[in-house]
Amino acid sequence: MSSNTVSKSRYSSTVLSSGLRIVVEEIPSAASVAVGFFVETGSRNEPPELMGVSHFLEHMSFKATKKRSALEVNMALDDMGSHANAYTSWERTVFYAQVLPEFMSSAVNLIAEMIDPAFLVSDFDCEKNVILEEIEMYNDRPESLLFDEIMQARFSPHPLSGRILGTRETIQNLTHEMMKQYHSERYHPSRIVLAVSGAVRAEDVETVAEKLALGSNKATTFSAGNNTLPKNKAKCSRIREGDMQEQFMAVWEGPSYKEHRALYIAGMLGILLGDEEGSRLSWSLTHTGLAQSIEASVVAFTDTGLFYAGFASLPENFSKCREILFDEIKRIKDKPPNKSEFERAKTKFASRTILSSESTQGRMMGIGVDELTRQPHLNLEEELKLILSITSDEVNAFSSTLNEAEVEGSIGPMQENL
Amino acid sequence: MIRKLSNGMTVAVEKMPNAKSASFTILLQRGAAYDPEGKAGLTAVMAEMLSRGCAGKNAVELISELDSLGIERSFDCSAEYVSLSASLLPDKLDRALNLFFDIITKPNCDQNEFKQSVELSIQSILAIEDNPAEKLMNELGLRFFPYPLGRPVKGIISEIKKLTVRDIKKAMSEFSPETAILSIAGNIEPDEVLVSVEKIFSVWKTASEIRKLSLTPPKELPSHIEKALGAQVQIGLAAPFVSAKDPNYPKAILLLMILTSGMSSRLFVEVREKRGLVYAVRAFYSLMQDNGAMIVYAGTTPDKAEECIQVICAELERLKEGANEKELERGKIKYRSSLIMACEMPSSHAQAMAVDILRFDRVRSISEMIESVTKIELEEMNSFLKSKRILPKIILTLGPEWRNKSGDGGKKI
Repeated sequence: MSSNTVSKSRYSSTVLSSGLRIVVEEIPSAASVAVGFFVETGSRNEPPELMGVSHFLEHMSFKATKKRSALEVNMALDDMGSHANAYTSWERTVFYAQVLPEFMSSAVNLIAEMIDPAFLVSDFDCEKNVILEEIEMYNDRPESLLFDEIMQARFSPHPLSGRILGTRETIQNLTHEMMKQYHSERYHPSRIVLAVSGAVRAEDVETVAEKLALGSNKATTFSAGNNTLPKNKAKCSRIREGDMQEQFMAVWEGPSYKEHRALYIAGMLGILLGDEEGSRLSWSLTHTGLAQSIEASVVAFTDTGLFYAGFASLPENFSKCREILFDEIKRIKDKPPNKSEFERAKTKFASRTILSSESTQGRMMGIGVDELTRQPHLNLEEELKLILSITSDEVNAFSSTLNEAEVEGSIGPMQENL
Repeated sequence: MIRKLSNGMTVAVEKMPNAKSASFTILLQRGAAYDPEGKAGLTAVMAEMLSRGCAGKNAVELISELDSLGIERSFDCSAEYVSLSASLLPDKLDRALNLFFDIITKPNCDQNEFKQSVELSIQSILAIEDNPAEKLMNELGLRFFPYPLGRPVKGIISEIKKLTVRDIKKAMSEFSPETAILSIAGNIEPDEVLVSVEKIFSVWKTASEIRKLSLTPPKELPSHIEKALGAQVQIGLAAPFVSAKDPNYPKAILLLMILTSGMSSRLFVEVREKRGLVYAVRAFYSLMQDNGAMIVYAGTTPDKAEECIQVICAELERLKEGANEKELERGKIKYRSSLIMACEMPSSHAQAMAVDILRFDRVRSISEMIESVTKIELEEMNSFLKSKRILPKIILTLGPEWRNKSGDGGKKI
């Protein structure tokens, strides 16, 4: 499928004596390099009183380091014309930058310096306000709140059920000493992956990485997050007066990162059921004008996963939409996709995989997460082969596990709707 | 490579030898601003109908065909144009172009599909109420841009309810090759692609000129929209800015880089980093026909709204004092690297090519764009900053009531 003028990528991985894992994908035809540090820590590693600390710490990494002030850090990022950012999820914190090839080593060095911040009290106090504003921003976006409610219902009281941003209360009570302590327990090279992808040579990345001083923290075992994970069945509704739409989501048990092939199978079912156009839910809910949006997909964690399907509709259509959603879940088992429907979903999946591989950042995110979650690494050709090898029997077998939803959640103006 | 087809359609094609895919964008210069008085939302409903059947294929057949070719697509509209974009593997390009030609020129305009599209369009207007930042931008446009350029693109519910399928047919007949732009980028052979484009599109003969919009000044409307249950006050400022064809355009781009691009940019540092007033603050360029505008957006909790607005205004004002050498250099490098990075992806490249034709009547090369900004010297930049003041004409807030020190509740600065 790919033209022979496009040079093939080359993957390599190595582990330094500090424990830092390095994965590199050389893509000689790329115009840029994407660099990312993946740290194995996130909201599930936070005791309740520290809820939100991983994300706050991510913000602190853009503040003063032991060598530079906050402004100098930001200027250094901009001096290399980088597109830099970071995100925190339930299980990881990721810092990344896309730069022109000549800035690869500066970017690696700078981010390594940033993830060992100076923790100045003045930086901490100022950034606390930014975090509180971020919490309020999401409070004005109902669609982003629903998944928080689902996670809480499913995994409470385990820390995985906590909010990534924390709450106003936990953030306000957080001290900079608590954060420093958390950092020293979590940010050890053995829990960090450096992923680089693009116009770069693996040996150059290794040369830069070998000189990094990432070893000041002691490796301690995770205290939180490894205790038994509850898997609750629940229904949760959150009333928000004044909202125009009601959002709904149902979740089922899905594959974890340990089930590599199963994740692709669940992803395929997500396309069949909930793709924006051409999917079962789109035909019955959005195409007909009953719902404004639909979705179905899978989210994986190290030891569990969720398959979800949902919609947003006006309150007057809500019960009908919910009924249709569950009918479609039943129907995909009773009347599984025929050959052409299945092949279309497969083509979409493969086509999207190729398109997203054209961004160095997309590739870097892929190899970084794969390494952090200890999944096999596949290059683009291997990944396509995997997608094309998925059979309808495999997808049907997964569909057949979707019985009564484990958790149903809604958010919006309606009273008692589940 | 840029061509005018025999029917007047403008086509630009560019080979990206390192790409795996191909992308194309079609801009049809008959956007929402062209909706007749009393029919606001016509274009939005029409855009919703684009994938609902053409050339005798019903919606299921059309969507299945697009899907079976693995075509990632989006159909969208703005005040100025309707845009259709597609990303795909190069060997599917011919079939995709054929399909898109049918979508544009042979719509089924089925009555039932029309009814469903109306339902969906109404809901997507209502959904804006749950997205305060989007709502703010709509309201800001309405207050700032000449009417009907600033009219909400998604339309007005009461007017959508009165539309008929005949209105859709009429609006679609106003698409014409003379006012259409097609750009294609990716791993393709431009000569071959041009031959097939000519073959597919040159039979399209609808004659229609770009209607000149009669523009009137925007109406005066309140400067605060109350959303008592909102957590944050959404803040929007709009100021006249240089247009795309202005010789100072490259300097305006550089100004924007200094003001808002990156974490050491002035707005980010002053509003967020130093004062912790916001999570989100940004400025961006908005171009519509001959109107250039600078829009600033910020979201903050009510007790900080006043300070936030003051700091933003002070930063706009401070531009006249000029930039320093380092800021200028950072702005240039930022611009250069964002252009180069954007060009790795055929989708963003095809989009940029089409917009270039719309704004400049040609496609600027990357090196030309970089050169136009990097050659700007500090002295000329500073004299531009001194003379080109950014004076907000509209300052709009949306959200819970906030008070300024003089005691007026959420109304005036």
